[in-house]
Amino acid sequence: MKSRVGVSMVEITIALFVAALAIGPMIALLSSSNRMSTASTYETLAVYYATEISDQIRRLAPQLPDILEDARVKTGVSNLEMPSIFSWDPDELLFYDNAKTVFFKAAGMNLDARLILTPLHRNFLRRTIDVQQLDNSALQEFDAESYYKVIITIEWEDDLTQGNVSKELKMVVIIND
Amino acid sequence: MKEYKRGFVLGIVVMVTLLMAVFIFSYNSIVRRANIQAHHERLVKIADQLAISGVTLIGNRLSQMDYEQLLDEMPELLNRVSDIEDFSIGSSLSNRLRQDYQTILNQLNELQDPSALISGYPQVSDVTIGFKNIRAINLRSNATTGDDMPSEQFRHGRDPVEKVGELVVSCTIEHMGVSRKASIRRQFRVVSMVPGPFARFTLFTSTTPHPHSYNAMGVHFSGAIEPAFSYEPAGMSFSGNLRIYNGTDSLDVTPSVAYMDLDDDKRNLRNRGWIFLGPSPMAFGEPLNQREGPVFLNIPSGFNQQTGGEFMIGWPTSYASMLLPSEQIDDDSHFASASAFVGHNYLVGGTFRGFYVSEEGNPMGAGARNLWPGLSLDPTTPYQHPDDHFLSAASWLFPYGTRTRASRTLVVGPAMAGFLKFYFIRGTNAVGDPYRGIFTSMPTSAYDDRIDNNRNVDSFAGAGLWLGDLVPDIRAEDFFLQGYDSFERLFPYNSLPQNNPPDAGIAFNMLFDFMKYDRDSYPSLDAPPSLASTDFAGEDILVPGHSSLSDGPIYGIHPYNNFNIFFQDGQYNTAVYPDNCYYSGDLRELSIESSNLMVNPRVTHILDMSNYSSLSEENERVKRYLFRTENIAGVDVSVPRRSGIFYIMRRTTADLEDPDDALVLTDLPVRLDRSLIVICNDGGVKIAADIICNDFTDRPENLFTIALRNGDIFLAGGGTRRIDAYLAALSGRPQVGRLLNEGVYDFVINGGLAVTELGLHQGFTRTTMRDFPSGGEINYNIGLNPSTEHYFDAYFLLLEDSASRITLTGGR
Repeated sequence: MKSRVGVSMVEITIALFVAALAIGPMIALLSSSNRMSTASTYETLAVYYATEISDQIRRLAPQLPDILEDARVKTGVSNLEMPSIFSWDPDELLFYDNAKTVFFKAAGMNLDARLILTPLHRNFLRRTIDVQQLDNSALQEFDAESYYKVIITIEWEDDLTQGNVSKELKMVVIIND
Repeated sequence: MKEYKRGFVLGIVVMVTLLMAVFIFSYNSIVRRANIQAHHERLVKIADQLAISGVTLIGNRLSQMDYEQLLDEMPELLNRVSDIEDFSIGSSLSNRLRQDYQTILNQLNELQDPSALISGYPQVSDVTIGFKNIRAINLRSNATTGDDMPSEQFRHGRDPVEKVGELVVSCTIEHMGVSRKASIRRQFRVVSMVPGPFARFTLFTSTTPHPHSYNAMGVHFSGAIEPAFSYEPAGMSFSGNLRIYNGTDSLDVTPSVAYMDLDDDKRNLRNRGWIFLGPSPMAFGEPLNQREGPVFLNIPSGFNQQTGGEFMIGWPTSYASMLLPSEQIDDDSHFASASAFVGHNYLVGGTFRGFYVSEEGNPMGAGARNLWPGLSLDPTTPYQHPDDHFLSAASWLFPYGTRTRASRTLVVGPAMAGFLKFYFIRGTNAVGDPYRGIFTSMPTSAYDDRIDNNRNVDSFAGAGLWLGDLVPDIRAEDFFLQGYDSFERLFPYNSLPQNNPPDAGIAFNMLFDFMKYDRDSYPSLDAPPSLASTDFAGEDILVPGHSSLSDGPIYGIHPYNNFNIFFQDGQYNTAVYPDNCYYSGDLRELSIESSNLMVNPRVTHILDMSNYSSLSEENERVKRYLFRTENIAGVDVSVPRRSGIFYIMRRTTADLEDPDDALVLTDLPVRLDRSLIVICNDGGVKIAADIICNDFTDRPENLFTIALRNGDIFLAGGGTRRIDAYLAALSGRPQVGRLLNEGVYDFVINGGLAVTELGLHQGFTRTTMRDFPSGGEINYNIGLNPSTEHYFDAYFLLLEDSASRITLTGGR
């Protein structure tokens, strides 16, 4: 009779078994959710970092010919091309502490135009701006000018990153001179 | 009771597990949604940037369109404002722009969707372009009545096509399942690159310092420049004249063509730039808009290609003779014919002559002949001594081109032609020997005395002006059939009146019957000028106000205080057809300040340098603002950055009177590849190098105007300065608004010139004429003429640099 009193060993065993079965996946799911949450935060941050640059470049676009001419005057290179004033060292754009003013440059000399950039989160590995001229030979209406794509690349790694492959975002702004 | 506790722990565990599962799944769901949102946001932002780039590029492209493209794609923009409402442009252009932008997007490999079955590039799904809130630039209303005031606007120049409004461009981008649409609103202006009513004139001067301002150049009898001549009142010598060609299509007049035909006349009347020579003051310090004094232009003697001016009076019988054909007088009621005298064979005639300061055997020129009234060596007259003989000086200003490139036009203002005429008799006597003589003038008493003494005709010739023997005698009383009345008709004639204001004289317009120039006969100087054809009588646009040319004591003086410029033939009633009138007002009151450049909001860009501290700062800024530097064939040149009407505000500390503080737009040669107008609010502007239009056939295709509100234009840099532009310095104040010399030899302007004053002061005040003793050349650009079809080429669509509003929405 005595053995019938209280919680049976079987019950506890079953409860532990059920708990063990459920908690394992749930913890895994929780962990995965946390990683996903972090990933989306990083992605949102990446969009912010890229948009911050693209908005400033778009606003500067009407003045870019002036900036380029200024660069030509300062460097003495009369055939200086647009991409050359976007030539920052990758380390210049990669900083983590305080907001920073980044000047456009030509031959190592600062120009009057600048970008103001916020510091990156520690998980971000790269922030670059690349300018490439577009082929306008097939254009009907736009063929009178030169067109460029400004490629803004933001690279980061998060907990979802596997095999040391980081993530990146590329945003493009089209400008003309 | 105890048995129901069985399974309690299991139940608790299961329940807790279930609760945890619900929580964790919920959390996971939220995280997943946030993750999807973040990714979606990423795609949205990427698509947004592409859509904004698209509308910006399309807007920029539209602002590059010239007149021809506007006419093809958006003809509504060139309608008069009264005929236009909001509109969208056709699908053809939208599609081409969409395809072009798609071509650009197809080069964005960075954004290609690797999972897409087809291209995977962002797609441009739609482009729309519309013009909204259109209103006239010059439509100002009466504050009280709310009515439009075109009559007020006519005083400044009223273009009914110029307009302002909003350009609305939208572009829809689809990228990896996201569709985004960007719309921008940019203010637009449709403006003409013709600066104002003064640009209807090749040469426009608000006033002339004094009536003889232009008559200071010494020419030989042949028309060649007499370098030894010094114009003593100003102590100057001139080595060249200012030649005005009133259209780059000017017809060369050759002796082989007897006269121009009607169509040529009509075309020329319409196309040529006119000339306004503002009146001289009748009293010292008289306000510009009250001046009514005359402007005398002494036509130079001779047929020298550049400086001989007698082609303006008539044309030599042949190139070889270089002499004006004589006017033969066959008037049997006053002069006996040769048949009345046995053995004689003679003719009586008259010869027109320009002014000259030297001739073979007479180094003192026309004045020393003591033949013409008002032109004699009188030692009591200041400056009139042999070394000066300035009254025989000729005009430095050539309003009708040159002998080999005649370019006649309408001269507006009180411009009077100065020329001489003498009468002669020429024949052979009974023994076959020649004789000839030039008649002089004398009072009645002297005439009667000669008649009483039975003197012959040769006694009525000027001193030393008779050659040959008059045998047998020809008694004067037998020759002059109506006595002194007949003799008086042969008095030497000087067209310049002596009174001020003049009550007689020959208006410059009288010499040509405007565009018609029949070289077979001289114009009648006793009747109003007539039109080239009666067909022109109803065409006020061609010769505005011609009906009033017969009013007043001097025929042919063109009114300048109520002057009209029309766009097209007919519709001259401004109350009924206000849109056909470009200008109506008093030319003396026209200045940059009062023109539609400043009165109407035509200015598209303002550069404010008022707080700058130095000229070098201003020069650097204005150069970079207006021009970019290009290297063409190894030479750095300035090329305009954009079309527009630019208003430059000088620094407040600038010394407006100091030439050294004049603004330099650029120190490099300018190569024009687009049209623009630059207005300077205060002070002078220095042009330090040539301004050359890349597209130059018979005229500059791109219109460039430099307009100074309150300063002088300086030509600097040495040599001959070529300027493919219209230069305007109209301040409305005497002695401010001139073209001055800072080191060049002379100039060639392909456009036109409008200045407050041009002619020489008697003193040492600087004017264009004083500063350019070597002269210059002005060729009118008929693209500036609102009465020609070329005027429509001057319209441009100009957009503000940045969008006033950008809207981003979902694309579907």
